[in-house]
Amino acid sequence: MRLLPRMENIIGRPNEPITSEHLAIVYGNLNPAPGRPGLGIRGVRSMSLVAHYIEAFERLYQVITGPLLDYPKPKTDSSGKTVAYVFHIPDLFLDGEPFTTHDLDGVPFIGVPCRNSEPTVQAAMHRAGSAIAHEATHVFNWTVRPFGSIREVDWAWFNEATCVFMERFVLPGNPDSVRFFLDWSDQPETSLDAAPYAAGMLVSYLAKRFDPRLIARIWKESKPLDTPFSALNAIFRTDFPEHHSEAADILPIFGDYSFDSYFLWDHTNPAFAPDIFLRFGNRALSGYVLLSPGVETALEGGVDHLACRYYRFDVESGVSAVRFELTTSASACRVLDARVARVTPTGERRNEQHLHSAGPNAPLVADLTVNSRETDHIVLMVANCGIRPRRANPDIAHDDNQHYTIKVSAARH
Amino acid sequence: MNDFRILIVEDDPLTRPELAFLFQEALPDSLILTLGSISEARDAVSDAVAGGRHFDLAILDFKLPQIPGAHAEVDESLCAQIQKAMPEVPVVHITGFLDDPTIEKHLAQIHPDRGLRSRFFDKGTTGWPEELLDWSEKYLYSERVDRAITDLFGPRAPGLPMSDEAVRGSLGKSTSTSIQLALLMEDIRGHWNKFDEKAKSRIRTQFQVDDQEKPIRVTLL
Repeated sequence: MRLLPRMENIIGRPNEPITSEHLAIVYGNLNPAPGRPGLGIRGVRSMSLVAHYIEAFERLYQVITGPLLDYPKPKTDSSGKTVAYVFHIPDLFLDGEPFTTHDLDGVPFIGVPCRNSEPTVQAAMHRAGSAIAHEATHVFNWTVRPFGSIREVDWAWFNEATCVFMERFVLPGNPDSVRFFLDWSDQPETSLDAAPYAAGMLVSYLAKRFDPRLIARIWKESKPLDTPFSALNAIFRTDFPEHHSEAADILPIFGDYSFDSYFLWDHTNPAFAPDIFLRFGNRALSGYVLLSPGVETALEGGVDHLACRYYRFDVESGVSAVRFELTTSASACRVLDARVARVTPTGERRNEQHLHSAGPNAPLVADLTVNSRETDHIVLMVANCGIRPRRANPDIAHDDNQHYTIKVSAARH
Repeated sequence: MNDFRILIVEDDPLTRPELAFLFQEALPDSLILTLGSISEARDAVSDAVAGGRHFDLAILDFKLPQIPGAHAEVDESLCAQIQKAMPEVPVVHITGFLDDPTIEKHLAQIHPDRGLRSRFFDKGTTGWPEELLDWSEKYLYSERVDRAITDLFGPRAPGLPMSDEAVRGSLGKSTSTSIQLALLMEDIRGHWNKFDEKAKSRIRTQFQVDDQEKPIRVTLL
């Protein structure tokens, strides 16, 4: 087995590697043992950490190379095993976080921490399993699309998002990945690619709504100059033409994903995520209005590329219908997806409607009939399905900061 | 992405668009703001400071009009404003009047170190715009890779442990170490010939770079 001299130096007198079928763990012990000095904070306190790393890695390996996802086996040295260095990562990288990279021959290897400060043993082992499943997914992603074969900057968010998805897919009882979704829950207005871990929700959504194979296919079938968006759109063209976009800079499925993500508690919905709902509740609102009969109100807003905003409307008795009118520019109209639905007291979604335009330059409109006894509230979502971020060069077209005005009028019985 | 922000202030109606074209072609994603007077440039600097989006590089002609169309005179105030408002931003001067005593004095006193962060280019020299671009690219890519290495490995020599304070200071980032490392190695591979020697030395403290191969191969040391 070929070990990097620098890593061995950093770990300092490692033990003989512990190996499983596909993994070799290079580590040292925290405490001295007969015939061996202890490494202190550079070593592991308990072999159960090593065992959890091995178990999660092998489980990930089995699933990802299995018939469903069918990733190719990763490049290794002659031992046939991927090396994971278990060490005090701050000795190498400032943030001390797990990582995956490769040697000069393109053979990937993993670094994972020898200690973690989770408050319980179970949480510590969950963190360990999650970390190595995440890093092992990087190994496989970079096996399909090796370093140098893609523009990493285009694939970075999807790479991270795939890893978070695989953590949740392979280790379903492990809650560790929930921590990635705090900002996702609290800041829906953050662009998808600006929050790569949280983008794991979109990947999970695509896997549940279509097929987990779709995620693997985006990696495996993409062409050298593809981005994840263009690769997904190419698969949609052949397999799910109703979701294919003729405009390469728009991702229409983002509208479905954003609206469905409001209903995290709904088990019939591909965005169903009870763990995230229980931990963080509903996704954050950008506006709230109590609708009284005969009253008209207006809200101003703006949304960046691949981001969304939610507005909640509570309805007083006496309101029989609500009209929503969204006014925006022609360029924003091209990328914005606005929808409204009634949420029943038992949390069901009813009367979902897109806001539609009656003609060029006309506002997007939806009319919703309301029975206040059967309505807990109304939710309006505005999603920006444009994929182009703002660049430093102002002459490059982008989809950020698309402004709109929403006029809401409540009709009396 | 090469999202640099570059301010070019040059009043010559032929040179200004030439520089704009040259820089925009080399750095298409970047903001190349070309202005022709001191007042316009002052506003741009104030806006950049107010918006928290400093320039990465400022290129100033020495003789500039106060307002568009006015008579051009030697000006040191714009350089001083930039150095005060954005001390981290290098100011590069371009001039056709190197023997002007005010300019000589300014270069000697304000830019004594004609090294990495402070340069001037003589407009009387053949090919100076290309040299200016070449120097600018070297500066921009080298600074960026230097910052990325510091972000990833910390401000320390290889092998030394990180302080707890520095570790705490790095929490809350949105990009993983794996991706930071991949992007950094992509930058090294893609811009190796654009780095200055100091940047290459810094890179070699953390990475093994095989530049005999095409494409260049990079890995952690």
